Amino acid sequence: MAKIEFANSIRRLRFDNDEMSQQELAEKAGCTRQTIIAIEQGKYNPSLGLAFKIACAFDKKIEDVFRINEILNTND
Amino acid sequence: MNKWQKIAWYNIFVIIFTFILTGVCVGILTIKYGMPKALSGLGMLGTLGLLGLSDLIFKKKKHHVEFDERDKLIFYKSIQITFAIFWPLFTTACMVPWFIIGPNNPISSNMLPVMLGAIGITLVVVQSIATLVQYGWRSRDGEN
Repeated sequence: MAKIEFANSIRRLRFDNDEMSQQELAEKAGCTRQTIIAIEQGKYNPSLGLAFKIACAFDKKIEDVFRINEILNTND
Repeated sequence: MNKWQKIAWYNIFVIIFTFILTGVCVGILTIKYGMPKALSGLGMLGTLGLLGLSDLIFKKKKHHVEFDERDKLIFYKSIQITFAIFWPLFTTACMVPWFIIGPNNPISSNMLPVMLGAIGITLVVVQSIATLVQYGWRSRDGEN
């Protein structure tokens, strides 16, 4: 069975967008700052809806923000 | 620290404070008046009513998202953990007196509210701890 690991570019995109703070991004995406922190640190995978909202906050496509980092085959 | 973490800490603090206060009161009354009268110190358990004030103390901030999908997930998980703890606890609370005093002996009906209260307090503590563990105890989470 494949194990999928997700990664995101939120931190980099925040800095590319005039050093947007986590609070500003949270307000734009309609979530809490703690959730943004958890997503940035890879501790929480957002729902599809929230992922779209975060991507919209950066004016990017969802795949520009979130990506599959690696797929590990656990059968091996 | 968000509102839900603060409420969890508040619940734990109130419960610990109540038990310390009750223990001290019962202790002092035992020294002064002896045992049956000292049990009136258990009235201090009424301090647990402060648990109900958490929503008033930690009010919602205006124009601020305080409960999103992650909070909802953490809330549901803590409820699941609490429910999973409830049944073994309830079964134990029912079966232990049965094993101790046997099937043909009566127990005081005072045992019922005591059981209910003890289970209720334990569940509040379990839910609070489950909430704090999922948020990561202090979790100021790498602010920048």
